[in-house]
Amino acid sequence: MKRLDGVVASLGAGVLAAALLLGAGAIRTAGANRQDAGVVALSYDRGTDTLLKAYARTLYRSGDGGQSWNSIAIPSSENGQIAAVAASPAGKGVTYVVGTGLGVLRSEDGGKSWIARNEGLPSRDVIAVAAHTTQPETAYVVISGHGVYRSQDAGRSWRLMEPGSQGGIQQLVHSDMAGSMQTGWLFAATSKGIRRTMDCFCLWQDAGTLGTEAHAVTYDPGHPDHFYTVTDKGLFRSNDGGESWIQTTSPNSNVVALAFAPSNILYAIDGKGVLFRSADDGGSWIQVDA
Amino acid sequence: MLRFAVRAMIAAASQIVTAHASDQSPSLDSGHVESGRAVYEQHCASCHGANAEGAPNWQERDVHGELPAPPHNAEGHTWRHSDADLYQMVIKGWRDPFNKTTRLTMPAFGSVLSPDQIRAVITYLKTLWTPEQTEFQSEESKGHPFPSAGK
Repeated sequence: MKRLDGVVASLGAGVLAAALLLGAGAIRTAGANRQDAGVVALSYDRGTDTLLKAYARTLYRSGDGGQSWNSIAIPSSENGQIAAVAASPAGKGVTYVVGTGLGVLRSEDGGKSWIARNEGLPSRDVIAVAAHTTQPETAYVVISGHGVYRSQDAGRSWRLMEPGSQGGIQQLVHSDMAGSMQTGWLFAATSKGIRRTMDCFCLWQDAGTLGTEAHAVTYDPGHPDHFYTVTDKGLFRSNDGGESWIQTTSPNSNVVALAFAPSNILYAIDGKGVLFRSADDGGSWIQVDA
Repeated sequence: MLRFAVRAMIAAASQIVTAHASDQSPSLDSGHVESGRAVYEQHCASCHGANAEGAPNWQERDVHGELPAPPHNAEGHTWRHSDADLYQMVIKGWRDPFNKTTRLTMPAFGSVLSPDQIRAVITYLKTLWTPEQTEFQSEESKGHPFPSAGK
């Protein structure tokens, strides 16, 4: 189960300031030397047509569909661990990295530099992040034990939108699927399956009846009502905004994260970092040589 | 169980804007409020309830697969929307994309109510919210106000 429950000490402001002053690359080196557990997140950056994958302490980018990876330096902390990554579909180069003990880091230049954006958050134990599909300065984060927060100013300030945990959110994505009273929808992978709400946070509902714990969720930006999820029972896809789910094949039993590229490629990655691609909505998979 | 859930929602809603809450709610024109109350009673109360309490079990789809009318008071989510969004919802209506029928979930009142009546009824709804909710809605409306008169 992909769960990052480790509540760790907050990153000191002084440490972070030093990290930013000294340069992210130098700081990351210290983090990279520690034991890095399995993959925790996968994201597709539409602005740069690249894949991002994250381990607990390291972030990588691939511009060739996962055949090769380059590390991206991020300011790390003594006990901080990456939990999620989100590239903004609306702002080229805008990327969020969040984690327990790490808080929220935002980059506007594709990961060359990072700024901590934690003002107004109750803690730095961030377990999920979603970038708004059409608004580059809007993002949502899930704070362990506190709920879902929204920023509409690139993380400079945050507002609590939903104090509930929805049964334990493990991943959050924003979709511009039609029909919202506001600007889109949020879909959450939770211990109760997939749950969704319009981004006004008007009413959380179960998205279908998966009947099992969901660990990851992604969607097809070309068809914003097409969703894919990793559950305890394998991979499922929905073509109707989560109302009904169809089980697809799984490349292996250890998939922990998914990402969808606009080229109609669905990516799945397992905990050891083995990447797979599917060109037929998860019907069949090919391992990407890395 | 339902009562507990409702209480929890109200408590949660109150928490949502605590950091920004002020003791002063924006003052509302009493004449506007009264005319809005009249519009509400004539056109809205039959679905949303005489006291804006919403239809029973409004959070669950009914036998037709439709979401019942939600409350407009502090237990609902009307306060989460900007003036502009509320205005457009009254004008155009809204359909839950997961409705199992093709009907609008919220009927359109653009040909029934005048712009002044729509502004009035929304102003009346603002009297039903907590100060924190009112402050939140006011913030949401800063960049999304009512359309200017005549639009």
